[in-house]
Amino acid sequence: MPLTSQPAYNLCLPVLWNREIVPEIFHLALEEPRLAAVARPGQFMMLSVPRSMDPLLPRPFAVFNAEGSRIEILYKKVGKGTTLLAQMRAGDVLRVLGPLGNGFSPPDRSVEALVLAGGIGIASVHFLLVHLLKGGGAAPTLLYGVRSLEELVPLEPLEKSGLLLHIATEDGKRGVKGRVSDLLSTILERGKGLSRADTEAFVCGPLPMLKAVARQMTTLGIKSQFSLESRMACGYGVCQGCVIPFKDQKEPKRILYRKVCADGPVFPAEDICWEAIR
Amino acid sequence: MKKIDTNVSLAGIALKNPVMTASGACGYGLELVPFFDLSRLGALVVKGLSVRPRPGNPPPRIVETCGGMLNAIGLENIGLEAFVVETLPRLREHRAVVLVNILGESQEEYGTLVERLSREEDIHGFEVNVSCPNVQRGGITFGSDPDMLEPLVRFLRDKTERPLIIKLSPNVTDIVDMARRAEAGGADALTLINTIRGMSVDAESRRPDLATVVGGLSGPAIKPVALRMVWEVASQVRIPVIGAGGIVSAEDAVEFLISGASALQVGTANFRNPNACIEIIEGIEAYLDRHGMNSVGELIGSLEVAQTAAS
Repeated sequence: MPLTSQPAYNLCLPVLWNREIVPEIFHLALEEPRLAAVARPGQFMMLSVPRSMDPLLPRPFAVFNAEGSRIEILYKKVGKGTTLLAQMRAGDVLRVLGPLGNGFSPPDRSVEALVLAGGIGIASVHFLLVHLLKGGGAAPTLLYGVRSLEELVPLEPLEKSGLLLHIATEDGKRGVKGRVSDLLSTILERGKGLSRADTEAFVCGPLPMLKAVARQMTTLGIKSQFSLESRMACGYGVCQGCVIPFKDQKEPKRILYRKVCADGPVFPAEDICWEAIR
Repeated sequence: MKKIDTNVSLAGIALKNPVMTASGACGYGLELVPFFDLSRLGALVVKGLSVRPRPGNPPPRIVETCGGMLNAIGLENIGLEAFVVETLPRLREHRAVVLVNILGESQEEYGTLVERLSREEDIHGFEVNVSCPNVQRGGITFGSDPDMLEPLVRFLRDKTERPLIIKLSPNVTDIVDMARRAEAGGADALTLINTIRGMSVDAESRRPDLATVVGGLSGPAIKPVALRMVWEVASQVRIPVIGAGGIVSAEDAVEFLISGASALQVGTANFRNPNACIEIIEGIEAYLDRHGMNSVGELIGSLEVAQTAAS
């Protein structure tokens, strides 16, 4: 993490619930008021199962929500770590390191927030949406794309609170048929005026989506913050494993490396060296 | 629990306990501050420092393996100047025993680091990373050629009074020979081991998992190799051996002490649990108490090997 006085905790916490809400996507809640009190939108936590050394390393998960004494994640079962996590039951103990990372910079109240989420990227922007809806400013807009309808995470509580929701599904079973970038193009065509000065974008999703949306945001001239991911071992800045390349503003040909865990995971789009990330 | 004496005197440095952080797994120590008081450690070994800043390798730099991980960080570090001016003053505030790991691509580079840092207070010693390629000799690593290792150690011995710890590479044919040559060159202590060269491939994409293809393996997977090397070396040199390689628990730490290590380094375990070192220190105390021992010294080199065991 940045070497400031940001609080971070290393705790073993009990699972409150761990529910599969759509196939392969789970919603897990942990009990810890101290963590819930300091977690900010766009931050993440490193989770591991204390009783098992397999897998060895913890895994990073965005803070999906924090309410009262509860902190929540939303995750997809994709590999060894998440498969083990999916087996956790209420009362099981997880080691949690967090909150980590810089989080999103909140927009000014006068600014319209345009949030773009692809697939499980919804996990990283959800807490931001909760904050924006509570904040009393203009209602945020969410462009949320998934591959198939069955992967769509229900967002009724946010819609009830005033979220302007637009869906894209690649299988076409709801909303616009296509991806988030197609959804954005469609919305622009339909005449939603996106003024450069009044709009700020907050983006999270798979890398191809981030690259496509980054190009669109550059064309539109909209200021945007991207939440990136990277393979991590520690998550708090000591292993130096999670770096991604950035443009050196002082020497354009030089590439700098920044840690996604400590300098990010949220970065302004214009700094990111998209060509060099795979 | 009665008072257990965990003090270890190593190469003239008084350590309050035998547990150190391994270089590369604790940054410059400041990242650990939110989690515990750095002065509780036996010592803090900071990330390897070169004369000039190094950006490190392109990603992907790490990949998990069974019981471990591979890293190809590329010795990314802020360089000597930034360390002395910005980092060291902040680190001093935490009053830990600090050992600076140093690296270079030529004898001169190592020499510059030792000379410059020997003028700074609160640096208790140097740990020399000899797993770096010697660019003047076609890229062979210092630590893989005894005829390069011993002169390097001798060269550095002349440049400082401070404790010189040589961190040996396991990627050699005969680590005992390397250890003897480092001792002959004037090393005060040895750290065994650095990472083991390894590789990981993605079967679906048919690509290597690391940008540099080959990296260094660490974690529990390497413990049996590290333990063997510590045991073999400790009986063949007079200087103390610091055991490193896959220590994740107090039990692991005790196994290394029993096998001849005078102190320990904990690396990869910190990634899973930033408080690993503190838990290991407390676990060593609990072990000693449980076994009716009063001091760490009683454990060191206490392995009982039957006479008929293969040597």
